[in-house]
Amino acid sequence: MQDIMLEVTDLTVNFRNDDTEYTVVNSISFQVKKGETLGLVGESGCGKSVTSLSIMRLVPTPPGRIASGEIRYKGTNLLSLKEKEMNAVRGNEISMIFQEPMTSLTPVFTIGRQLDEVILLHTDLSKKAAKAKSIEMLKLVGIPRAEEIYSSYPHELSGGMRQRVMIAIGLACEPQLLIADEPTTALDVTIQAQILDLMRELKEKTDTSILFITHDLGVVAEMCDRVIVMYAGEIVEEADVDTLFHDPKHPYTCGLLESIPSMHEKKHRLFSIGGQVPAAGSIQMGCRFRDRCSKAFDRCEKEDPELVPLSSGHFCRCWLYAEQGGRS
Amino acid sequence: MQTMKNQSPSPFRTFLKKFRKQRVALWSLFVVVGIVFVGLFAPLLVPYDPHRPVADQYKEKGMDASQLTREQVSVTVWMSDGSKANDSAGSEFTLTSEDGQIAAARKTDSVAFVYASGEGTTSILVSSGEIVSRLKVVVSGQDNGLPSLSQLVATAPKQSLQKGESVQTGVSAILTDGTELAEMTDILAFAKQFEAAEASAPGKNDGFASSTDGFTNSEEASAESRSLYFQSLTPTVVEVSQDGTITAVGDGEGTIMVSVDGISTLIPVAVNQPFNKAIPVRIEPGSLVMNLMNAYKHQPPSSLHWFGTDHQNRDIFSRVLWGTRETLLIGFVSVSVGAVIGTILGLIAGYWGRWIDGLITRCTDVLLAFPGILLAIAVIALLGPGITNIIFAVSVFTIPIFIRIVRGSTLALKEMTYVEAARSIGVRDSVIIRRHIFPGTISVVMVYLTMRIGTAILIGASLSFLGLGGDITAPEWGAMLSAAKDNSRNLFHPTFFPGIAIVITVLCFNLMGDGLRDALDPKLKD
Amino acid sequence: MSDTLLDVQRLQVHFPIKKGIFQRTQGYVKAVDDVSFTIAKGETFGLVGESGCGKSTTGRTVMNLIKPSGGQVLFAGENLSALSPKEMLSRRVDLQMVFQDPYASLNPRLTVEQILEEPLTAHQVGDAAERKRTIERMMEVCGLNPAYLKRYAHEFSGGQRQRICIARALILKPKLIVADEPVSALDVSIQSQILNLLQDLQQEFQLTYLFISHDLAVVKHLCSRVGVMYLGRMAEIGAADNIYTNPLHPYTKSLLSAIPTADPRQKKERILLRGEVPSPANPPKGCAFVTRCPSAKDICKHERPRVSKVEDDHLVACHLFT
Repeated sequence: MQDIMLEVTDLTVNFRNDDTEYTVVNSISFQVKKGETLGLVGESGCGKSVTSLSIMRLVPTPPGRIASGEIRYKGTNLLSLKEKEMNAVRGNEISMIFQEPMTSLTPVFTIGRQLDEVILLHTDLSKKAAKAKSIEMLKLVGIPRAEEIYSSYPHELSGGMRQRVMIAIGLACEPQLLIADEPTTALDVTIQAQILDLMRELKEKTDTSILFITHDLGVVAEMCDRVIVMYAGEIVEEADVDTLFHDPKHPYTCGLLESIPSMHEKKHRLFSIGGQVPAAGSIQMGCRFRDRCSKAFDRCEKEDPELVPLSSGHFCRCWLYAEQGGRS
Repeated sequence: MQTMKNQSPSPFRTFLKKFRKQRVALWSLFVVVGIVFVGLFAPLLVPYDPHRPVADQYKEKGMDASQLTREQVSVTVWMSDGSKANDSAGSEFTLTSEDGQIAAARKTDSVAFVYASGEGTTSILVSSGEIVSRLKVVVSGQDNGLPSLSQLVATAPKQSLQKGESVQTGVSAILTDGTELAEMTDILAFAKQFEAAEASAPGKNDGFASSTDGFTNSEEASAESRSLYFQSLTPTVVEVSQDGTITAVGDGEGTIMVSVDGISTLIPVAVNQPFNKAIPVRIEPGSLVMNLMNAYKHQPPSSLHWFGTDHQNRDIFSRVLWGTRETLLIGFVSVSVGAVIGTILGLIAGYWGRWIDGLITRCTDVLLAFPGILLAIAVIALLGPGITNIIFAVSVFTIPIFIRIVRGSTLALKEMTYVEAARSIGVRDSVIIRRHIFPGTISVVMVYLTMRIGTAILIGASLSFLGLGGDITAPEWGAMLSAAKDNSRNLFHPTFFPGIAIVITVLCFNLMGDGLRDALDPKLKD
Repeated sequence: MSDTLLDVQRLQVHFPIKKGIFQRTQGYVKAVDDVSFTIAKGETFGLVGESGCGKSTTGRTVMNLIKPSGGQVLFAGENLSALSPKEMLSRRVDLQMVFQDPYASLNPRLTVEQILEEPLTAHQVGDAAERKRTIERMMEVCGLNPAYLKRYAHEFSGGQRQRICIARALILKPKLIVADEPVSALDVSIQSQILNLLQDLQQEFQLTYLFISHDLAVVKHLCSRVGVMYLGRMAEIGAADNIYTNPLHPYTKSLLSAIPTADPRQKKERILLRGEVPSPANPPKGCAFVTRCPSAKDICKHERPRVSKVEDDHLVACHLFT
């Protein structure tokens, strides 16, 4: 299929701590289509960041280990590439924006140098052309006085500016797929709005596919076409953005949506999901959400639910919908 | 709820778990514990008093030291008729050492002894009148491996000769390794070969008068002494040619002396008359090779003295063990004092800041501007040498280091939200320091403490080495090195063992410090 | 409002900027610049604004952890900054704080029991047995299993840690709790648990909250009155209903419009602010917001707007409304 940029199949990532190995990401599969923004939501520790690092093959090994699965980018399995070939993919084809704009830039080099470096590494441009391209990129991400910023150091910039620079670096080689790992979490609301706006604009211009990882459902609603909800290393629900927010099926998704304080209606009490995310390694059998689920029943404890299709493009991992999924 | 184990891992237990994974550090810890143990129980562990020469102590230990350093020489005198001489005749002999620097021989009326006085191999010539035999002496196991001629045996004519009659004598020799050379040609060959071996042997024989060239026979030409030399002591009775043919020339009893390489024997000859009495012809030493020890200085490592002895013949093993005490005392006490004072001042400077911080920091800067050893030397120069002053000196330059690191981590910890939380609760400053800040600095203090002990030991040893440690004869590693450097130019053991003790101790403390740091560093996960 | 518990009057907090080898003071960061508000007994006052706007500094100054450079904080009619350190220690029984980062605000070397006992020992409350009962009760109130008494803080998840922090703040039965972004480090599902807990505790203990947050939705849910801060100054202050339904200050408007809503169908008009927040060391001469304001006038550049009352319990500092 031509329009599938990235296809992750049965990806399992384990982390070793002491002598026990924990499954952090458990057999997840998803696809990112061309020009699509796929949201990956979940609470901290659900494995969403590990998933993104696995795609870039940046999982720290050890303690991490990609135990099984395939990550196909335009048909080639990234996991079977040699390190050198993978380096050509990173930055060139797939690039990544990290959460911390403060620490992702080297403090001792100028913005321009860091940007040039990426461009020189992945293209055959001359130094002069690289500089021109860098400044063009800085302008593209809406940085005023781009020439001046080009020769300044990261600490001279504010958080929002740094994140713009990170995006500029991420987009410098016109990647086909951009992985954004919580790109706005460290930013203020007004700056977040600017950055999200910028990303939307750039996406329309370049038709890049984006894998957008966040814990903020509001950001997902604004940015994404399709959403995957992860819980404790598994995909619990997958749907297009409209369906997910207006017809969520999985009790976890429902709970998450209900527990956000709304700007529009005043509730006296918020709905809250009791308990905590189970610790990695403590999961034995059955549904991982069952301890916190208000609708849990016998079967949830005994059997692992499967991710079943409910309607086209809407999948849910819950025994409540197992029958329905089986029928359709 | 999150699943939790019953046993709650305290921070200390987590640290232990991590430290146990530091293999090298763990081994270092064992070694350090061993060293501390040795230091504590040194008086019980030392085999010898480290302050006195071992030779004085052998008796106290019930050992006959004289057996080691000297050996009695017993001889058997063989007569020309093949019988052994009686005892009184046996005692009439003299001993001459070929190299008095290696071994000396002394004889009283009743007994004769060979004493070790240096190291090496030499020979003792046992002579009685014209008969000379040789015994080989090896001192301190330094055998050159070469046998030499020990005794000569000549076959004398059994009957008395007629005037004008000629007889061929036979000469055989016994070597110090016990082998017998039966033919004259063999003896000559051996002497030649020995000469060649000595000529090719480099070193000491070139410089000194060759021992086999002989002190005793120095009047003879070297070439002559190498070959068999026949001489008639009674030329009126017998004549002898150099190939050993005896010719009777006159009536009476005559004697022929055969000598080679410093040793000699006699051949009695009677012409036209029977033998009157047998004369002594050969002295056989009780042992052909004597192994002696030089027990008065620089004994090499042996089963008796594992690390040998030093220039004053003190047991180096005992001294190294004993030296552990002083070394550890300097290491632990000075660094602990420095750490305690430094930590207190660092906490004060870091927590309260303002002018007191300024004052303490400036003082620290001044002290740190001196190189550690220089500062220590300056303190010693002011206060005079001695172990307490060394401890004081090492403390003085340990304090600023601890001030600096504790102040640094206090500044960081002061900004921690939990410290602010404690302040917002209304906890007093003294309690905040005690409960929230000090425990946070402990880990870094512990790491530095361990590392600094190594440095302090090194500085302490250096000061002693420089002669600033008070008693230079004290069993202290630095002082031992210093003394060994002056007195034992070509010997390795007096410097090697104290040196290796310093290296191992300092290395272990440093490795342990590294391990501690890795185990305490929250950033290093497993 | 007769029952005023906290009265912050023209509060100023300036931090000197020291430069050069002689550490000369080269100027001041005006972290809080002329901020006034009152909190009535039993109410929840929300202080919102972006990072660096001075809301946390205000909270810490209210706690008297930072000395104000000007103005005063009256707590139950008493000027806190005029108290001696000893008197202040005893007043801390009534004033407690919950911090943003539940990981950093608990000493990792102490057990839950030690952490919760600290306020009691500091103020010499009860004997050992009594303290233990108090601690166990407080843990139950805050939704913690008292069986975890001997556990260390690092064994707990973020939400549980924040419960411990809340328990620590509550154990002395204070009148006012300053909550500095208590839920912003938590996951959504945990955040709602903590918000509910705070609400429950307020009812049970008649607490007054000064709730500091950057999350307008959370503030709207929890607070009855809200103050919006920008660059150390109060931009708008009033009843939550007034502020959220009828925002007047251009900054409040853009802030409200910038919040992403968890509803993809609701496409709204967004007032996108250009540029960044100016440095508090060198704020604009007139209105602090003038550099980014879409409706800035000439006067805004020169004259600082005064806080003026627009309607009942709704004040705004903007030249558009004077």
